[in-house]
Amino acid sequence: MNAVDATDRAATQEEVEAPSLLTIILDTNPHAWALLADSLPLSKAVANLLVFINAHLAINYANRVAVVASHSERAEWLYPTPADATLEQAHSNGDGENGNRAGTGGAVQPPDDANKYRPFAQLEYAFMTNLQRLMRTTTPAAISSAPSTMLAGALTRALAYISKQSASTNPTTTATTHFNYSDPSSVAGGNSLNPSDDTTTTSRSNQRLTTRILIVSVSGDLAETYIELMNAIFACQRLSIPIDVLKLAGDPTFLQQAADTTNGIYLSLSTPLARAGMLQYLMFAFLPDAAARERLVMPGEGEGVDFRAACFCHKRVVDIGFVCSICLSIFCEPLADGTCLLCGSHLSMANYGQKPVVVARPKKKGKKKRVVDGGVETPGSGRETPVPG
Amino acid sequence: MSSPKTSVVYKKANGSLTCDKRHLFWSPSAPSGATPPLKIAVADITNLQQTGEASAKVALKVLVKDDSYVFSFTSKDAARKEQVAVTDTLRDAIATIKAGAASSLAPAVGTPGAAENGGGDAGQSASMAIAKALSAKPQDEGWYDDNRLKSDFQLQRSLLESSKALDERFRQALRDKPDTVSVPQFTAQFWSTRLHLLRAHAMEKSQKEGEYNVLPEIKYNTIIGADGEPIKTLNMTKEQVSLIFKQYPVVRQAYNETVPKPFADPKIFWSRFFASRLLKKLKGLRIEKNDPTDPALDPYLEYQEASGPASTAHIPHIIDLEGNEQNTKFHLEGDYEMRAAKHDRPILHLLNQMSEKLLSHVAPEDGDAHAPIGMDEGTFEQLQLRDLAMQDTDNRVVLNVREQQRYTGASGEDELSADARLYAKQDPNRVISSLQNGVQPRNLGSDEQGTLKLDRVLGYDSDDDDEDVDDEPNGGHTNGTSAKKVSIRVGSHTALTGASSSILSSVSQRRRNASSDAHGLNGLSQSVFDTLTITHSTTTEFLHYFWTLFLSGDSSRTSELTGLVSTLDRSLDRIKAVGEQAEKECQDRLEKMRGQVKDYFQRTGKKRRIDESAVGGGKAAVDEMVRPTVGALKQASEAYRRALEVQMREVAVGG
Repeated sequence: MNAVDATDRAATQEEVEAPSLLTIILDTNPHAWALLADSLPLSKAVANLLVFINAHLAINYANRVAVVASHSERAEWLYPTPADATLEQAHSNGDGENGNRAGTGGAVQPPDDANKYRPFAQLEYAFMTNLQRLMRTTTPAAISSAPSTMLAGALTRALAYISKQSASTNPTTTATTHFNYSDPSSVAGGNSLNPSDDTTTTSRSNQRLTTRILIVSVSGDLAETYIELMNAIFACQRLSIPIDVLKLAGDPTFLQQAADTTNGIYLSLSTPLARAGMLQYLMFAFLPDAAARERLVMPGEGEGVDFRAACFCHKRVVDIGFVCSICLSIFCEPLADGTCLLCGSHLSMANYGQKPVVVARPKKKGKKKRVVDGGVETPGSGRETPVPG
Repeated sequence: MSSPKTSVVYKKANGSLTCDKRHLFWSPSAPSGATPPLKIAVADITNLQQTGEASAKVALKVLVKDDSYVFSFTSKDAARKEQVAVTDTLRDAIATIKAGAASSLAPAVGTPGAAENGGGDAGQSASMAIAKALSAKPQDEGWYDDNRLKSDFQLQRSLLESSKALDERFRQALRDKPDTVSVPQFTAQFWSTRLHLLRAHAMEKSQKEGEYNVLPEIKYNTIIGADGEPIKTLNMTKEQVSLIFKQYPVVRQAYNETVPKPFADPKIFWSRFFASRLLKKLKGLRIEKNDPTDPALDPYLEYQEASGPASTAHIPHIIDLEGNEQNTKFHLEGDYEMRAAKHDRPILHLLNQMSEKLLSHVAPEDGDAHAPIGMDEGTFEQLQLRDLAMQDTDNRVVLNVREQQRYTGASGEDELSADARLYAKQDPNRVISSLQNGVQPRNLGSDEQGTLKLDRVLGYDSDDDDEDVDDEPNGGHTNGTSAKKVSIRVGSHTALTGASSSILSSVSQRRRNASSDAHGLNGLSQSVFDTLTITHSTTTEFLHYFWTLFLSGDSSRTSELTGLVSTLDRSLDRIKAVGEQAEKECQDRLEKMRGQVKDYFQRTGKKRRIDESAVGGGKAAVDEMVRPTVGALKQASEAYRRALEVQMREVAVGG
């Protein structure tokens, strides 16, 4: 039709900026926040985060936001409020349990203030109510048993939400964004599923929802869910969803990899002073969306990514490990029965990973024993692949 | 090669020990004894140990996988001699079997020793097994065998010749290797990490030319004979004949049916054949009316080829281009040469068919992909036009880590990370109650209406100079210790400025890394950079060698190991030397620049400032580049020293 009435509609369409969905995963591990209470209490961090979210919403009226709490024993939606939670809320609020003003409304009824942009107020209200409920329902037993945080679960929830949102926003492109796992050429073609790579869809790609994930992390110990976490990370890579990481405390191992793999930004605020400037880091580094990032040099630690992996057997982070030559599973020590835990291949080791013998000792009868492990913890470079026998 | 009987004691029972090529027998001298006779397959033996030569007791320990057998030699005067004899025989037998296992990988050369028991199969690698399954040509399998690759010096030399970088690395490493490491040891180590390169090279080399269309290649040579008449001669090689038979079954059939009778001599057959209409047809030439006829060969003109992929295979309608021929109202006159039926002018058709045939020889039937199509439901599924389908069903294999609980459940207190230990010190009740208080809206600036006044919580005030906490120069965010004493308000001016500057510095560092050429060498000259590269690669080579040796637990190679450690130390010196060279180069350049400034000042009277820090290069640049390598070297030598110390002490205690 554009050709018929001779107006160039395509040109005006180009100027509409693509809406952007920001999914924030807030690590709410209570222990870790308690440790940070001196330099950056949770309330302050949340306030900073809210300002950041508001900024994101203000950039484009179509921008959306979602917040998942990665709690110590479960992952929970903070915003948007899940359907079952709204029901429960309606009940509990009738008791006036908390006695705060914000809690007296109905399902989601933020205070009506003429001085505040309505979406901000709605978000802040829902966010805060859900966060309070999350903290209220946390039992001491739950946090004492789980030292870590359910980051893998939170990532999975975020991914599910993202794909749902993209599907509803771009009904025309959903068919192409489905990955055809059985088609070998699509695997060989690379990791990108972004239909805008295709020149024919460029005009449509403007309407596409660009998505990204921001992980605000305070705890380490993610090795427990290594496989799940890496699966989520690779799913993000495949869907070209950058994972940004703001590390406030804890061991960086896998999150650094996540940011590196998905082209996200990794920033670590390890000192109290740096944490005090959290707002600036958020606004400066993490606010630009995918479209803007193409034109910017992004900050972040580009070098020295910790690429270590966790073994499949003990969930230890390994320097030198043993890799199954069939399915590439990682093990921290030679397997007892020589059978790969994942694919069941029978593996055998050449004489590697023995206890080092550096002194030629006089032979004593029967003293020398073959020691199978030991030497495994010795750090160094390179890996030895066991040979299947 | 059976050894003489020797008298030994095994499990306190007297007996005799004999051994032949495959087995080691021990039979008790008293048949009624509790200990049954023993038979050990030589191929199962993993190690042999004997008592020291000075020792009064003479014993041999035979290690078989997890078991071990100790035989004490009891002969009064010849115990040592007997033991040595048995050991030597065994050693030879083991060596034979090992060599046999390697060579038996090519099935043509079967060695009975290796095939007999499972022990021989352990030597086969995974790639071997796969290759065995895939390869239809057994004679090629030798290329997949690690041992053969390692010992094929010709191949290694030719690989070195084809790859200059590898050659350089090899030579450099060979020059720098410690004296205690012999050349064979070194090369074995060098190639053991590069088997894949060798294998690829071997395969590359073993590629040979495929078939070609043989008939057009055979041409007449015309020689003027003695009588002045031109004589046409035809030279054919044996290979060409077999190729003709292979490519043109009709010729084979004709040859089979005509050669004893009516053509007595194959020569006559060939001369007639090359003058016949059949040849013209096979070459795809038009048969003219005045071409000579040949009663013997002309019947084969009507021969319908029964074989070949195109003619026999059932073609499903979905891809059959001629399937609807009878329904089409028009005829594609222009393309009629492409039709199979038009044998009058079949050259293109013939060439196509020929190419098909040649290619079908190149890729032999390798499974389903080339199987006849359209035969059953499964193959029809394969034929579906997939790009038109909306989406395919997931076809993934679910992998599960088995018995994981067995491992993870056992993790004790010591496995907890530093974080987890800190968490454990906290009281969960207090943690939760403090957090529950923390997330009350009043902490987020909730006013009486419930609106969050975030600006108040943030406490950001652009006029606020934060004099009280601004005692640090530049708000250095790395200075964690002093910052802790002064409590820093979240969102204070200092903090935000610090954040900005740290982000900007990381941005500029990123940009420096991203820009390629100018900083690619980090300000080093090309020659220094090359020296550094080669030093680095040899160092890595030795590190590989070190770890393999260090973790091999082989006590007989300790002197080799000591040599390697000293080489690693020398690698540090070499790196240092490169650094000094770079530093000198950098200073030279600075001198030159200063000289230029001086000249400029003398000429014009104006001072020009230069930024000396922008020159780059020098020792600092080198150090920065090799930092990981130096770290790896330190770690290696530390690991060695630690092990040395412990074992020296053990030896001191034990001895």
